[in-house]
Amino acid sequence: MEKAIIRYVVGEPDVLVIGGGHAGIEASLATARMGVKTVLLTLQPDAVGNMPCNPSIGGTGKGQLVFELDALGGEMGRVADQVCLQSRMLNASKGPAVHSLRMQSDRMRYRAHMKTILENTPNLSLIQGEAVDVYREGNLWYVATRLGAVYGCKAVIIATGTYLDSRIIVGESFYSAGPDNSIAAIGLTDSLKKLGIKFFRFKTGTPPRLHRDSIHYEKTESQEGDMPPVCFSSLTDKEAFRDRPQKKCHVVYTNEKTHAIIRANLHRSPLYSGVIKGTGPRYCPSLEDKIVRFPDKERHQVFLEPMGEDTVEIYAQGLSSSLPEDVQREVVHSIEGLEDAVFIRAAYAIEYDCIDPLQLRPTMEIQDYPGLYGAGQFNGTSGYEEAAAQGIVAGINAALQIQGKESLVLPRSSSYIGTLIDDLVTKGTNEPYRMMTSRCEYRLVLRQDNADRRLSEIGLRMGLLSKERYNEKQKIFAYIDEEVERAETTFLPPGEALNAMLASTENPPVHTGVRLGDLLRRPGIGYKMITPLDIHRPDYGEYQEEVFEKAEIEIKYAGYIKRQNKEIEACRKLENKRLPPDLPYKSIQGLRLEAAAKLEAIRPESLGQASRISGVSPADITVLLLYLNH
Amino acid sequence: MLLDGTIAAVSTPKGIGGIAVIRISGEDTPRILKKVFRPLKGDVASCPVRFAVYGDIIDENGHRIDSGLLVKFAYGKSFTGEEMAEISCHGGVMVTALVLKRVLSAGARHAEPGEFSRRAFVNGKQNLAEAEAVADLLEAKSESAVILLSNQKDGKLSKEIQEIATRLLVLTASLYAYIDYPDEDLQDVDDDTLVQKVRDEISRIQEILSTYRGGRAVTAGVPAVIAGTPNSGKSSLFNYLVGEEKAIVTEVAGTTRDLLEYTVKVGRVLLTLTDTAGLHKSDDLVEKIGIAKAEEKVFSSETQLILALFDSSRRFEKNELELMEKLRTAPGKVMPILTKTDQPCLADTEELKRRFCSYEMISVITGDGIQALKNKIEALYLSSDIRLEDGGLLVNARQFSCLEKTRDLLLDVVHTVLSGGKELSGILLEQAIATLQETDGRQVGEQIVQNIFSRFCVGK
Repeated sequence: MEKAIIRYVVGEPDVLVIGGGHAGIEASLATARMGVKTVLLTLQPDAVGNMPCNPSIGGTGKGQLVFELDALGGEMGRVADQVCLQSRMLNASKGPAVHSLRMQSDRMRYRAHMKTILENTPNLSLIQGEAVDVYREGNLWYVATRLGAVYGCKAVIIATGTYLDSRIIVGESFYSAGPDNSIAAIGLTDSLKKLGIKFFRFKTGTPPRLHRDSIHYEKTESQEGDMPPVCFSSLTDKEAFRDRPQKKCHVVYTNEKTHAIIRANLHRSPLYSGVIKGTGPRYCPSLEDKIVRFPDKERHQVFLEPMGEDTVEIYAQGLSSSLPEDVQREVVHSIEGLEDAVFIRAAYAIEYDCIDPLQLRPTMEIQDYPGLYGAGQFNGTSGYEEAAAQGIVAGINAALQIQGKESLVLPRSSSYIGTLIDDLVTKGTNEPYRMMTSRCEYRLVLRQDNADRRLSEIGLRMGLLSKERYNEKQKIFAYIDEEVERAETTFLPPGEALNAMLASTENPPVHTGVRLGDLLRRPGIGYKMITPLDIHRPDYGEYQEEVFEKAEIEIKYAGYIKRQNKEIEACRKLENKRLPPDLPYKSIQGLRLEAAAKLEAIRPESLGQASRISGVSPADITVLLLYLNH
Repeated sequence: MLLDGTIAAVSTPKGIGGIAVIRISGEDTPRILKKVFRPLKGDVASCPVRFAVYGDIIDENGHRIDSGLLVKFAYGKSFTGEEMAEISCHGGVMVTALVLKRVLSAGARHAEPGEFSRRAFVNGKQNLAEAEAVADLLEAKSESAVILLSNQKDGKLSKEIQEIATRLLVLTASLYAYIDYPDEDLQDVDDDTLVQKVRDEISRIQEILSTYRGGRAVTAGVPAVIAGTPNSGKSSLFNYLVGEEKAIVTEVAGTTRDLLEYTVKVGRVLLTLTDTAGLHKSDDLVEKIGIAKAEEKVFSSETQLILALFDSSRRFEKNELELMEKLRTAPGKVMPILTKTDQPCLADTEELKRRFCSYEMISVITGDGIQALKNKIEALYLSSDIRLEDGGLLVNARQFSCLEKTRDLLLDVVHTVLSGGKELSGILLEQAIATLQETDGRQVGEQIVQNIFSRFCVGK
């Protein structure tokens, strides 16, 4: 029996961030860089920025988040570039509106880089400790660690990831542990529950890791990186990045034998036997889930991804499972190419506590607990990028609050980050929330290529982006505008060369002069193709390639962008109509009970946000509007 | 519009009737009833809900104003969703006014136009489509219109629209799946399939849109006009169709100088029919004004049907030939009709045939040809195999414009995909679905709501 721990006050930083994962890192870097004294409390300082699941950053919907983070002055993209093993532009064959960058990352080097950055950031201390108690006294929040250290601070950002009361489950075996068999964080949930915060229990999982040299590569398909590779951060030297050697990934497939093994062992799966009660994500199913839910599918893909330069471990994406280890081995060995695969780590499911995100404000502050913020998987999301995105917003707002400045809310129309947060705090979630391109209705204007343009002004204003970096970006924006203007006012004369090019792209010929912009809007035609015809093309120096690439997107999409901007404008009225936090919804006459209850729970900050709450009808919005005008 | 207070209004039409109903809604209803109604037995508070109770309507001194029936409705179980009551009193103008005055003096305020329905909508008792259906029903002018409108809500049409929306959703979802999961071995929707599927929906929407003509003809009526040279029998036909002596009919040419408008039933469709002055050259100043008005009406773009009358008992003269020539420029559909077929035919029917291909022949004296004419008119708007009970006709202008917008957005989808921008088409598809679903009021803007409710008169 443990004796009562003697608590002692160790310091009063402005902000204490609990958890050194992707959310905690961006949050603490933001507060510290905004001049606020910050302590980052972590269970394991060697493992900050760990990637316990996919060794990769970006992907559909997520890549956009990383570009946006970079535009705001976040760190994720820059470090991902530095430890990149393979870079691939997803959806490259579709249009730039849905291009998403995905990088395989060196997991250990990512952690090491992040640690160095945290250690060298002024105003920031990286300290080991397990937060077990959070409480408020007077104007301060206090956080106590297991060993008795107490921090008094103006704001606390909770970014505990999947560590809260977490439990690893493999087949019939289960035990208290965080991801990668680290220790779980015990006690904090109870402390927060005592404050009145509502919790969910979610579940996620990860596939096995195999030995690199035990795979029969001749039986796999290989997946190469892009040549030349593209990077996330505007701070990365693009020229040098192009020459980066890239690692291959490989693809293998499950087969009928694999599926039979799983079916025969389903009774041993904790998901089906009822041991696991947490809610798992639909978009990230375990192999047994896929086989039960899609019995007609003859095979499932498995991607073999390198975990790093200095390790033999290979991550087997697609084999996520909570079946017992012996069955997992059987499953892996049934796959062509993996017959002799050496098992390094088993797949596992993990259950953890997170909060109902409907309790959050769009600033990431928890309603009714001024100064208490949540970020990352603690808020019911999934994914490193989603976590980092919330982290930077929580950090910015905690710092702004301490500095007595107005808070920052990113509207849906501003960014994927804004969309993610609005979804989370308005619609809530009943499974770990993942960002997807299709969740973002404004995706034509919210592209990877213009993230800087949309957000770097905020980064500058917050002090996260240097004036030089901002000015450089401004210069590029001006060039792009100049080029778009030129394309819309320059005419190319008709001629054989032009018509030959049109014919080669199955476009009808022209007999009069054609505007450069109109030409670029034709299918299959781009700047590169018309270089010989566009003889007076200006020189934008070192930005030449970037300017033409981005101008082309603006020109091609011009009509659609205009349309979407109009819609955004039309919604702005509702978005700008602020709702006071203390509206007595239950006593507003004419508001339906269901709507009043939802509104009171979520407390939307604008009429626009209110209109997106499920169960709030247009009639309810009309009633609110009438009430406000009254 | 205010939503507080207890409101009252006479819910039956103005004028003298057997009974009138005064409707009261709001939380003060029980207190007001206590003051104004004295049941034969017991007191108001103990009267059961949804039962008619006989008693006296009394003034502030307890004297009887009238006797009548009271029906109470409970909160949450009434038309408006609020505490409600209906008092039926005698239908005289004075009696009704006194009873209403008494209810108002007892604490109610006079309802604004459409306020009962608005409360019903706001309290979730009606959705927009239902509210609209009620509004349309109130304005229905014929039995056919009532049958059509009361079958709208669960009718064929709303089902079809819902099915289109669902199919588009499925299509959009599969597009998005491929965008969000490019590495999964999913089957992408190829351009040709996508275009074909969208085109299928476009043609379905087009079919629905094409029923609007018939729907409007049944519910609102076809703007139609009777035109012809003086004394060609215009007013006689007008009166025949109207069924009473509405226009002045004399033997003297040029007697109809003003425009007369009346809604007449032609089979299952309605015509909002205008009788006009004879079209000819005149020196009479007053008549000239009448002729100018008539011409304006006949050649107006709003006029959809022109019944062009020609007297068969006379030879076609310059006036008739000029009219025939001019009618070719009319925007509306011209239906030539030879009148007075009970008399010997002197007109050059070949001339008429040459110019219009076909014509009708009628006599309002014998009634010959009238039924054939009516059938022909009805067939222009409604084919005989359409059953109004199915609710398969589009009648609502807002639905019509939503469907049109949806169709245009889908045409954009096709255009976008064909010009190589499939990844953009999802957004257009989403907009199309949103537009299509607007018909059941999920994403309706405040403006539309206001517009609908301003069309309501007080009461259901």
